[in-house]
Amino acid sequence: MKNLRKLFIRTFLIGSGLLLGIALLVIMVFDNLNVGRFDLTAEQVYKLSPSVERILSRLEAPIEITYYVSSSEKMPTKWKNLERDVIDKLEELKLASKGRVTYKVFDPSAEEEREAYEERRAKEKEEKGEASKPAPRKRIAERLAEKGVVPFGVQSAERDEFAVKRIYSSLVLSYLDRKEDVIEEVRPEMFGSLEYEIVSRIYKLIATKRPKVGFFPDQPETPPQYRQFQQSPPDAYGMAVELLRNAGYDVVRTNITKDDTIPGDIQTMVLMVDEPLTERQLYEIDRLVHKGVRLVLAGQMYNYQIYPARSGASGEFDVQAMPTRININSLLKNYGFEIDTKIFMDRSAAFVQVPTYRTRRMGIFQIQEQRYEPVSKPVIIKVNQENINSRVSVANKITELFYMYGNRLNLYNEILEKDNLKATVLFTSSNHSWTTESLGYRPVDTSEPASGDFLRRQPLGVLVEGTFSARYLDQPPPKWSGEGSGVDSTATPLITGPAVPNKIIAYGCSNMFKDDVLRAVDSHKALLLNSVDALTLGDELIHIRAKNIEARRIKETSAFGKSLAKFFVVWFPALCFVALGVVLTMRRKMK
Amino acid sequence: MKDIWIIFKREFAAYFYSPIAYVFSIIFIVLNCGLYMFHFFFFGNADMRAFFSALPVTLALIFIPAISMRLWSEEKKLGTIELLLTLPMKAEHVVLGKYLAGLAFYLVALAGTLAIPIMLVFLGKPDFGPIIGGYFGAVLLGAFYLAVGIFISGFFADQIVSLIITSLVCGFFALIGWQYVPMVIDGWFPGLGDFLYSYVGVTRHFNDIARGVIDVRSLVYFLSLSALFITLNIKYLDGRKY
Repeated sequence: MKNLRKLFIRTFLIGSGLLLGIALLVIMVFDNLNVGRFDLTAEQVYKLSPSVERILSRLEAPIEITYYVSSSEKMPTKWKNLERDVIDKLEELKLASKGRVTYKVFDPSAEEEREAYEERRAKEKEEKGEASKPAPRKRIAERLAEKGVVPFGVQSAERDEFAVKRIYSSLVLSYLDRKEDVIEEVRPEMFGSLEYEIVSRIYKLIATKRPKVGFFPDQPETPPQYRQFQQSPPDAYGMAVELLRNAGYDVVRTNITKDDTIPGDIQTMVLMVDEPLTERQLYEIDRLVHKGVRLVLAGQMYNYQIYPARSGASGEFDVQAMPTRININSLLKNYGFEIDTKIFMDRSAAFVQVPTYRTRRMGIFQIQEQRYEPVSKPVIIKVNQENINSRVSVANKITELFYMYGNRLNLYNEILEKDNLKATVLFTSSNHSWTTESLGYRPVDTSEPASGDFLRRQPLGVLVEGTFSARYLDQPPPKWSGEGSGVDSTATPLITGPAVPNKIIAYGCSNMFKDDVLRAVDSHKALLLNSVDALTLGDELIHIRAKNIEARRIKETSAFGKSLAKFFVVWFPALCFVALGVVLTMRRKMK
Repeated sequence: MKDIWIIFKREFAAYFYSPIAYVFSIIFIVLNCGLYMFHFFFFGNADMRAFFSALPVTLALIFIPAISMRLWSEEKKLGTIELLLTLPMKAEHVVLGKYLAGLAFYLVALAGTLAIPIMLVFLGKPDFGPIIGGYFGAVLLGAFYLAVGIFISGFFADQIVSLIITSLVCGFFALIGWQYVPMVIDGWFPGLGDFLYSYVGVTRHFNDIARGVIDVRSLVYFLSLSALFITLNIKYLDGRKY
């Protein structure tokens, strides 16, 4: 009996090991097969978008994608599955393109090791005098660097210490004789947008030329005092430009001056207006619109300073309006809309950190402490999802916006109707917004109006389509700044003839796209790219980008509603269990 | 089939006669739903990602070990296991009956968390794909942990020992699917952390399903490992006859 038991234990242990091995083998085999998957999400975010097939069907010749990736053994743990995930995505693209997209995977580290081995061998032979010095040739790293494929550092753990590994993970797209396009860093966190990243590049590769976008303003000029320290003044829109360049646009920055004019071959002009423009600059913009160059315009009427109140209770903060005095409205009125000049406020507001200073006595010394306090004021407008028109591709999947110190837009229906222009509101304020007059340098009254005086949903972003009337039609062009006032008699083309149908996207806030806000809010990046994509390339790419997982927001809920929800979710099911237990126990006892 | 049904009924009813099962179910609901609601209004997202992301750990450490601990340990302690195994029933029927009863009780407790999607419908427009996927994943996850739990319960007469060992083993499966743990293992034994993360850890497969993608690879993972532990339990009980 004892022997039988021993035999059983031995057989059981061996059998268990075998079965575990078989189970792991099955898991491993299936893990390397792309057998199939079912996407349950409402908008099929994990499946290829239908737009992809349409874009790929336009390929005149096969497009080859090379994935340069270090082998998974060399990858940090978080990156181990990246190669497999990227290959899955490339395989899906290959199937969707019916073979017009082909891909290959290349591990440069393996090639580097081979090169190092060959070098060692050659050196040994050379030392022995068996062979002559081999002809120098470029190393793989140099050849790849020329393409734009360079290894980058990622954090990993080595024996309980953090270390940095240099790895390759780049995609190179080759199509006909066009310049190769490179996605320099394919990271696990960008996997959700990889489909867009690849397809947008394919889209731009198959276009006859790379889309060109103008961007105003240009980088600020470096004053002499900066030059001395080899510094450059801050560029408020550097990140916006970088974002567009990374998206494959050829971005040309311009200050719209005589020596820095708008390039003639741009498809879209992005205008970030936060200071007054000269008459000639307005003329140049009007000319662009007349000839059909699409326009993305964001204008900033006010900036505000928020500071601890000098009078009144401690902890209070005052708001002071600083008008930018922009004059773009003189042009925009002709197009059927303008940026409102009154201070605009909304009950739906975000927070900003405001520095406060406090003097403390430490013995005979006094020290001044600085700290930051969160402040919410109605000029720090937050646009919630329910006020964003998700039916329009430009605003699609934008979940919230921080309309920092922005103004509402006024739409002139009589002009829109007269010129047969179509205006689509992209997003609005909440149902509790209001305007107030600027009071010079005195603090702005930020108190809410009476409940009946609230303005209902005011337009904050619009898309206007149609044939726009030029303000400077058949007028001689004004002189450039610095040439005195009057008329430019040089051979500048006049705005004449019928206008080309066009599209303008306008926002009453350019702060949204400034570096500090853009860096912090992903929705703003998407809004800028959506706007430029929609005007330059059409809606197809936006539908692909919009597939990123949408953060669906809940409605505004009262304090009572929140308590009720907490009770319903946490305690109600628990109480049901208690009740069930009591009932069953009673029944048992009665039996 | 009839034998499975008889065992199932007996075991399922036993859960409802035990106050401990109620206590653990209430803890499971209050803990998971409470953790979810703790930050819910701060972020204001109409989804259940936060709920499902905590589930592999909370299920592994508390709830599943609690409902699986008694399945065999109690029989062993009361001495009824010999009686059960000498009944004219196949060991696989007894095991499956007990396993399905545990699974059914888990589903009842999991149903208690359906208050969350109901609340989301009132407060927003949730995407039901990831929610359905998440619940499907939770069922597979529970089924897998329960298979581990019933297997471990077969070895011990003491329910507490069974609970602790199940917690440790299921916790291992959960933690190895996190990125940090295999990263540290990889730092010491290159390749091992990667292997455990890719093929053994439960979290990666569960997260795939919870985001709304039912991948055949994840189904194979859950079903093969669940089947493995149930088979081992059957084989072990068969062997007790010697």
